[in-house]
Amino acid sequence: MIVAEALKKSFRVTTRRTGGFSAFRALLPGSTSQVEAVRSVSFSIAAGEMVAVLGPNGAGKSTTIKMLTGILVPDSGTATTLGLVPWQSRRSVAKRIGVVFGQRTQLWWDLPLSDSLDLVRHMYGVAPQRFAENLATCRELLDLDPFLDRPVRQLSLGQRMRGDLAAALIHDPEILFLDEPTIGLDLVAKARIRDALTHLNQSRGVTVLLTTHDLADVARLCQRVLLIDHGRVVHDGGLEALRTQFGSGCTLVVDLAEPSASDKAHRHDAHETSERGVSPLVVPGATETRSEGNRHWLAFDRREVSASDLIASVASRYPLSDLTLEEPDIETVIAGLYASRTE
Amino acid sequence: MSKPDVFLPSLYIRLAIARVRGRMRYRVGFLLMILGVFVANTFEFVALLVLFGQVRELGGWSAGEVALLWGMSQMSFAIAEAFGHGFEGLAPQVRSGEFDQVLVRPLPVFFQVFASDFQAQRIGRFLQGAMAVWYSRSSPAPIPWHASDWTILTFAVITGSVIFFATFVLGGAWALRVVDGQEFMNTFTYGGTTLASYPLDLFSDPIRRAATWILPLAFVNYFPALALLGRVAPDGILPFGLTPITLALSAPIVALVYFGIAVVVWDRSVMRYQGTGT
Repeated sequence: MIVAEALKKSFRVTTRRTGGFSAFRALLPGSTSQVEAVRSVSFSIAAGEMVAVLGPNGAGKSTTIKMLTGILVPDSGTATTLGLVPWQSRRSVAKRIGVVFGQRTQLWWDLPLSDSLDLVRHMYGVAPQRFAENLATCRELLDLDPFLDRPVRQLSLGQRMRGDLAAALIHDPEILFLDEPTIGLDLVAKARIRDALTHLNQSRGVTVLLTTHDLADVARLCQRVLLIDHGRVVHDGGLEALRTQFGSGCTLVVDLAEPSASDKAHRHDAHETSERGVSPLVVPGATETRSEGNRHWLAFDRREVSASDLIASVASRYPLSDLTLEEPDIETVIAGLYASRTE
Repeated sequence: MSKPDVFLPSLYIRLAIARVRGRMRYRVGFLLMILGVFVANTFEFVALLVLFGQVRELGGWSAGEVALLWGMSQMSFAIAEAFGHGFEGLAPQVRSGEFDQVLVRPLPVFFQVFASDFQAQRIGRFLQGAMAVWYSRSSPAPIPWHASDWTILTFAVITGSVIFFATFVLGGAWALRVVDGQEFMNTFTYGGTTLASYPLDLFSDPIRRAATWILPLAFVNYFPALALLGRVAPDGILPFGLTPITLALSAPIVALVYFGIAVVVWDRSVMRYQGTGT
């Protein structure tokens, strides 16, 4: 359905001139610098898949989507969408895909939503019969009826997004490209969009490729995640696998049957003893990060020591009453990944 | 590439009607906009007449004769603006990324920009231009209209609008390359109408040449006006020593060549925007 091979795209960024006569000075050659938006992106998506593209701002997500939809031509590398090279067969591809940019609208601002949908039908040359069917589906799926006759400028962001999604579905696209489809929406509006996408994917077999910053979108919708960072795919797989790959730092929360201070054998750093005379636990492969009464938090890296080994060694040294294993939540994992790229 | 199963002329009309209907939702605003354009232009015209209250002639041109030039250029520009505003207003769309939407639709890019913003309110400027032309024929003494006059006038206005339209297309092409360059292009479009409002023989030689050979404003109204008025042009101003009437009638060829160049530049700019160009 979609194949990308070593896509590369850089932009020449001209340093903006400010001050007087900027309009004229814009004509003069200025200092330009090359920004590599996409360095090497390869993946392939099969028919019927629903894939999320994650990555920090500026990672190359949108640029990748723009190449796959024929908006931009890569510097090197190849791609096919529906078996066609999108930038060479832009119009043929456009006829068979739907594209929604969450931050912009393709609807006519001053006209009722129904008029916009009708104009879109004419732009795509959709036959009246097929239009009637698709419109009926969209009205039901996206619950358009309450605002179908209202000018787009009066719609809420969630309604407008539903309208835009409807506009992208009028011509029965085989693939939907969605760039941040839930941005700025409230929980109910997000849920509606997600339900609609799930329905389209499951009962109509529409392939969906979406970018998002909302991990709940991903958790609800996509079995597969492409994480793009620095213009490369750094992860391609499930959301859970993302956690195992990048979220190896776990925490073991240990409740001791009695204060560790009484365990003289393992007490070594007297000055670290906390207020109640409780000393930190000393276990190979883990470090205590916090303690509260008899409860201790031990941080460890799963790649260095397995949870079961750690539990065994804690149990061999201290009297345990209870323990819980805390895995990092996916938000934390991704936030950590994004933060690490900030230069 | 497969032929579009869409008939573009009827789609154009549909999109133009949608534009007008969108603006008509604020009926009062729409009518005020037409009136505003009309009044603003009337002031411009009145300023011209005030000037002739002080001087009898401007480089040998009477008030009525300059009014003819002014009116023709206004009529042409009004038509060009009505149809070419999609190109004129492209810069903010490129900046905001809205232009990308155009590239994911199965229609020619040129067509989509052309059809994106039909501006019916420009009728205000057109009517004002027509009134100036009417004035030129009735002041100081009525001049009868001949069939040949009508032909030259119609030719000139249509050709002139193609020339201004092509200038808007070039402006749009410019916006795809230089995001900040809008003001620079306005020098050619709005500056062009101002230049074309006065007799070309008043200007210095480099400007005359530029207005004949680079941005062919002379063909918009100056040569046709010479023909209509039966005036003799100063030496060296008429290319190849052709008569004004020949030049007026050859204006469509010039306009088409200029338009053709604009379309080629436009296509190259779109390709460059997408990243295939150099």
